[in-house]
Amino acid sequence: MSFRVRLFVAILLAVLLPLAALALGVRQEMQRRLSAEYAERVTALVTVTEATIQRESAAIDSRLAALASDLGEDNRFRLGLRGDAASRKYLLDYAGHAMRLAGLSYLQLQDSSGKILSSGHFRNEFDSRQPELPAFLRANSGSAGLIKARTPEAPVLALVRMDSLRLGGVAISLIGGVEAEGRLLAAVSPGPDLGVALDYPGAPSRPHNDRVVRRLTLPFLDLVNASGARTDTAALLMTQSPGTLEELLRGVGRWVLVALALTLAAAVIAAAWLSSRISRPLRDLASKTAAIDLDQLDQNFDSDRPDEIGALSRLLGMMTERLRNSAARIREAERRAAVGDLARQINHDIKNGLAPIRNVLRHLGQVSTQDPTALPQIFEARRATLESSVEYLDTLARNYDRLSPGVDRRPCDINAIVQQVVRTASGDATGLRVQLDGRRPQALGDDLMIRRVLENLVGNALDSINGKPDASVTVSTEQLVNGSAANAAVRIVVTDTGAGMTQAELDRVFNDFYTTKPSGSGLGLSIVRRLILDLNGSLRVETAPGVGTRMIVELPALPQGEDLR
Amino acid sequence: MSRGLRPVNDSERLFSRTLFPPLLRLDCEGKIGPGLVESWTPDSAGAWTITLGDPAQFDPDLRISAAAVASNVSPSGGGGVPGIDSAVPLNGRQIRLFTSGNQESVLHALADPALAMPEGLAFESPVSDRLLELPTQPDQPVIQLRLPPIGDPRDALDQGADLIVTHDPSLLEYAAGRPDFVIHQLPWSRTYVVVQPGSAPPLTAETIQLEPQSLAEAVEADARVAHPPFWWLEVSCPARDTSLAPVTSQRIVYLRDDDVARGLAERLVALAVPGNGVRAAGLETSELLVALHEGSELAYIISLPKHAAQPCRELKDFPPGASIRPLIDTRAHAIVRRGAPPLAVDWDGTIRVVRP
Repeated sequence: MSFRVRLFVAILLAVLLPLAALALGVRQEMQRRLSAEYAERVTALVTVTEATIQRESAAIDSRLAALASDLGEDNRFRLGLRGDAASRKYLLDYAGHAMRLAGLSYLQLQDSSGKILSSGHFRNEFDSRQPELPAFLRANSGSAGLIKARTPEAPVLALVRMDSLRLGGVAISLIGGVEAEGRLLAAVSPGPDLGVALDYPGAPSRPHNDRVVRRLTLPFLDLVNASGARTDTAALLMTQSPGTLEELLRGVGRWVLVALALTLAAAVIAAAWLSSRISRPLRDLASKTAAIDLDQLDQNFDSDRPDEIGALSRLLGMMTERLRNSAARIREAERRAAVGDLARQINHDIKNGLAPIRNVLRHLGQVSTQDPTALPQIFEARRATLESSVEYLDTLARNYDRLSPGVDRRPCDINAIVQQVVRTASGDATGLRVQLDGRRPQALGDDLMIRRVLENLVGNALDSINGKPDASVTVSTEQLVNGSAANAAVRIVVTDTGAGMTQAELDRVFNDFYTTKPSGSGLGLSIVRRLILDLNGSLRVETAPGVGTRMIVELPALPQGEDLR
Repeated sequence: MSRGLRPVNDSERLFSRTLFPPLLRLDCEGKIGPGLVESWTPDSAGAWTITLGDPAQFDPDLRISAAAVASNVSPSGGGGVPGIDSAVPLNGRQIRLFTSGNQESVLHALADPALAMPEGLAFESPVSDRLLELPTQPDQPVIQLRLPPIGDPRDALDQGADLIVTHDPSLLEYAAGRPDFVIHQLPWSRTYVVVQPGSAPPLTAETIQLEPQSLAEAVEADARVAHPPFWWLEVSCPARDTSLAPVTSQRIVYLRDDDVARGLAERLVALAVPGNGVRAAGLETSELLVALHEGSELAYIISLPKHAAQPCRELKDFPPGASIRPLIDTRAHAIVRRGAPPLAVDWDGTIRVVRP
């Protein structure tokens, strides 16, 4: 995980965790306060409901008392009560008129036998007998009663009270009330989340979700029951619909989620911006540092930042400066070393070129001393060696003049080069033999470079057998065809039966300036290896101390059919 | 179901009788007199040729043509008159009626007001504004007919109404105290019956303890226990070929505007055994006609005329196999301002304005 991502996550968590805690806290606190508020409202509702019932009961009482007082003065009612036919209709209609005037929704006048003399809510129920109703109300004289009574259209629930009077020797009960489900419940309308409902035998079922929070009981009389009037208990239920509170909490939850989502989005953007801004100088430093190389030490680490990043940048700048200085010193040392190498190589190559000339001159000197007459003949015989060495030196000089000895790839007759080298080297040597492949293998390379390789290898082999009378050096050539024509090669093997090399000597044999010879430069095999590599060839050494050494050179062969000669 | 031009209460009957004079009039003794038909002549083939008088009506749209009368009285017209086999309009005013049976009874049947009403016209259409102004002679005042509701009818009297037909005892009591009005007691003209479809459980003593004597006290009208004869017991009308589903309703229904019917329905509910669920319900005219036709209610409180020119027409909407039980007779009172235009009472007790 990158530093930038870690920074991003850290900022995000730093914003979101406190916010989530705040949201949860707000929700919990709202739930607690709403629940407490509901509890207070329920208590208030109970108080209001009880007060409403008491107030309605008192109002009913006062209206019934007024009606009873007025009835005592009503002669037509009295006549109707005594059976006067002309006042009969007045008697029947009395309760209807009185009920409307008194603002009641239930009024019934009954005699002592329970016969209905006049009914306001059900005018045509006259002469029916309902002795249960006065008895029920007398039994509950201290409180209002709830009754279920008949009307022409449908049963009605009424909160009723009773008053009485005596008229013409007849005891009359005035039973009046208000419609309970409409008027009474509407008077205590508590709002959408709290409800007041009447529960009584045969009441319609309430919604299952509503929770009853308080219950006020009332005596109840069912006058509509098929099996006769029945006394029971009814209740005013204060219910709470959980839906409102839950809806409120859901709403709070929704808004908390919205706030969290918005904050998350803002925090992501801010964290991404901040982490990018904070990590950008580090990324720049990393980028500059990655670009540093010995060839590229020109990175600018200057910074005016006063913080740790500025200090780091300045430190990197100083380090780069030190590297620049060190690189300059290294390049100077390398240059000097290269000049020395070059001088030694030139020295070595010139010695190689001068050695045949020296041999020929020594041979001519011996002939001029011992047999002067043979001098022209010998000179003529060794003249090619002299010319070849001179040409070698001339070419060498041109190459050094160019200072870039490029490989001029041409078909090279390996047998001819071997014969030329052996002829040059065999002037004062014995035991030098040649085994040439009769197919005249041709390599793709540079005659001069191949000759330099072979002169070095043959020279080293001859040096290794110096002092061993039975030792020999063999130079062999071979055309190799391994698989495809592209893999064709020419192998040249220089084998000596000289001293051989130990493993330690073999490990160092290609190092520059390593030599076991008193007058050697230590560059011969190093040059051989570089030349072979330049010719895209390979060099292997097989050696054993006291047995001898095989130097195996393989060069790319001229593709078949491309003999340019 | 549209009730067409069928009047359902006293006010509408007064309206329609004034708007649509019957083809022939019967007086209270059963004597035939001219109505829309000004002459009727028998021929030797047993047919009647009737001649329509001046067809001028209050509204040109309400005129009835000879063709419409022929359609109304012909059996092929959907209604028909018992005894008339066919009716052929001879010209714009004359119709020839081919009869079978008693020719006199055919003329009595022509007193049915429904035969003089154009088909396809709803009752609400000509009186949609509840007010009708009757043109009279140029030098005579305009006669206005107004349907309820008209507010407190006592206010109508105070504001100059010349005639109010009413059942309201308090209005009668008020008018009795006014020397400028005369109260005429009209004949017992309506009989309220309780109708039950054949598929409904009958009202018996176990369900409703019917006390006929107390029913008159249940209504706010001049009422008495129903007196025979009851014409529906003397006729046999073809029943609709319809099978009705068993009645599950416990409602006793009545016309919502009819206070007498309401009082009777409520009294029946009061007399019902508690707990059996019987209840009263007032319906609009069209709802009541649909319910009656379908026979879907427990019982119907219906007002029938004491006399019917065409009994089967009166019963045509009753459900098949319906039982008809008479409850009370009622009569209205006409409160007439002294010096008002002349009035007449038709054979069926309907009052009408006699236009100058």
